Amino acid sequence: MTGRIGIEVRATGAAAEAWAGFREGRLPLQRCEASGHFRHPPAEGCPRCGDRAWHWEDAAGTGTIYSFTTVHHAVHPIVESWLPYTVVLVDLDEGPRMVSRYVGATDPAVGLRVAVRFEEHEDLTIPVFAAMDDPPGG
Amino acid sequence: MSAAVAGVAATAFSSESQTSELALAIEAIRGALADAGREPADVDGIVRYTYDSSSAQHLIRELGIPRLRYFSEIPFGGSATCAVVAHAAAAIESGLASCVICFRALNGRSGLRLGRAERHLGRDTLVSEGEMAPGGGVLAAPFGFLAPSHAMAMWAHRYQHLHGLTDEQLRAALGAVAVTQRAYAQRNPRAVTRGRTLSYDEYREGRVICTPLRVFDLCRETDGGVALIVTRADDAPEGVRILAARQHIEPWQEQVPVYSEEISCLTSPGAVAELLDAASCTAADVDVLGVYDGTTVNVMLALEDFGFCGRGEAPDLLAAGEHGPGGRIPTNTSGGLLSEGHVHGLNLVMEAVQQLRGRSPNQVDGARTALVTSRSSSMVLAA
Repeated sequence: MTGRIGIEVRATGAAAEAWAGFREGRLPLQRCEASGHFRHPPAEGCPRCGDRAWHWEDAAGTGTIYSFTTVHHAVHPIVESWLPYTVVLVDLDEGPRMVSRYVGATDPAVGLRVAVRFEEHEDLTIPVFAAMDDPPGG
Repeated sequence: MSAAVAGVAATAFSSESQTSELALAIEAIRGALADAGREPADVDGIVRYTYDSSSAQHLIRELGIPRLRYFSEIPFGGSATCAVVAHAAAAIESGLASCVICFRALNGRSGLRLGRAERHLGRDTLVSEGEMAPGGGVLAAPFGFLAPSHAMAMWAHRYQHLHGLTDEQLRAALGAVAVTQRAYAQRNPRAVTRGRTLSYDEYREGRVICTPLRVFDLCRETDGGVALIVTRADDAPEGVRILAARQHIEPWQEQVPVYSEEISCLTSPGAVAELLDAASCTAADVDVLGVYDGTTVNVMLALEDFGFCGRGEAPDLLAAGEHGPGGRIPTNTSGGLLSEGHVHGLNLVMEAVQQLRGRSPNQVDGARTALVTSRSSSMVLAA
């Protein structure tokens, strides 16, 4: 995909910082100072221990497909041109689960090992995933 | 518990009501009051879904209710299905109210369409904000994760993987839900699909919406209203007793979970045990079941969550037709949200009440106990 994707992300706080990281080709995760627990999606408190002190660490960008669906029906005009597209839940190797899109050449499957790549649009850089064995840029 | 559902009513269900949501609410509430043998002047409580466009203030003016002593509301759409009844029953038992309206009225097809996530996204631009997933969440919508059906499709693929089902086995299980509920709907005059039968062959040729779900796996956006009246059981001669009604929320158990530890479990074992203990019953005592069937997947998973069969056994139960007429656990006997219509689950509660009164279009012989679940709220009713 090139040009504008036409999605307006009105993120605030830590979620805005995560999107800023994506723009730089990073996959930042919040990590709790008290428990060491990685969390996603962004939140001010740790879902494991409630502590509110945290710092950012970049994820390795690798993980496993927890589940997926390939969408054939556009529920919004902006995704009409994407069809079909695959939404995935990726369990990152650091622990958190992330909603993303799967763009690999290999058929998506639960348990498939995947790696992040960054899809750059004029208005947004989106972290997507492909199978680890897929050729780069495929 | 000493509370009961004293009366129920619904408007016609359609794809274009040609009237306002407020008018639908009033029609349903007036009908439920008449069914309960009550007048607007008797009402002192209202419990609403936050998603509803009709406020308690609107309704008391429009219905001629002199004073409310109790009003509350439940978030998260379908999750409110049994929670509105839980709040009403708690108000009755505590003495905060004596006659409580629960209602839901929406133009779900001709107005704001839930299946298109218009509540969150806007119609023309894809704006993503807030935390909600799916919907407008800033870490969900930009990936095309937009509708509840997308999450439910992922529940299905997860379940398929856990239990080693082939595509055909999964399709047969989900298709059994769709085909059976459509058959129930043929006998229900209110059902939006009445007159349109569905065979398994037609089901499996249905258009794929989001794998593995086909068009017949998804509930039907509907215009309509449903209302219930909750009072003390000894004030409800034709009512059904509320043995237990519970709501619960656990981390990542939002209305359509995707971040929870195991997404193919919709109601946790602890929540199920608490409900059944409070009702002093087990799954074996339940004669008729209502499941918030946003998709066919919800029915398959709820059968296991509530112990109607073991983990991984729902496809066999469904293949044997145990959810159908004469089966071990007749489920969504009005046709459900899939085939009667989607009135945000409250029509499933109405059907449970009518079963226990012997007034269902698909009456289960001798039905004494009904269970209704919408994942994070559930209840048990008894004749």
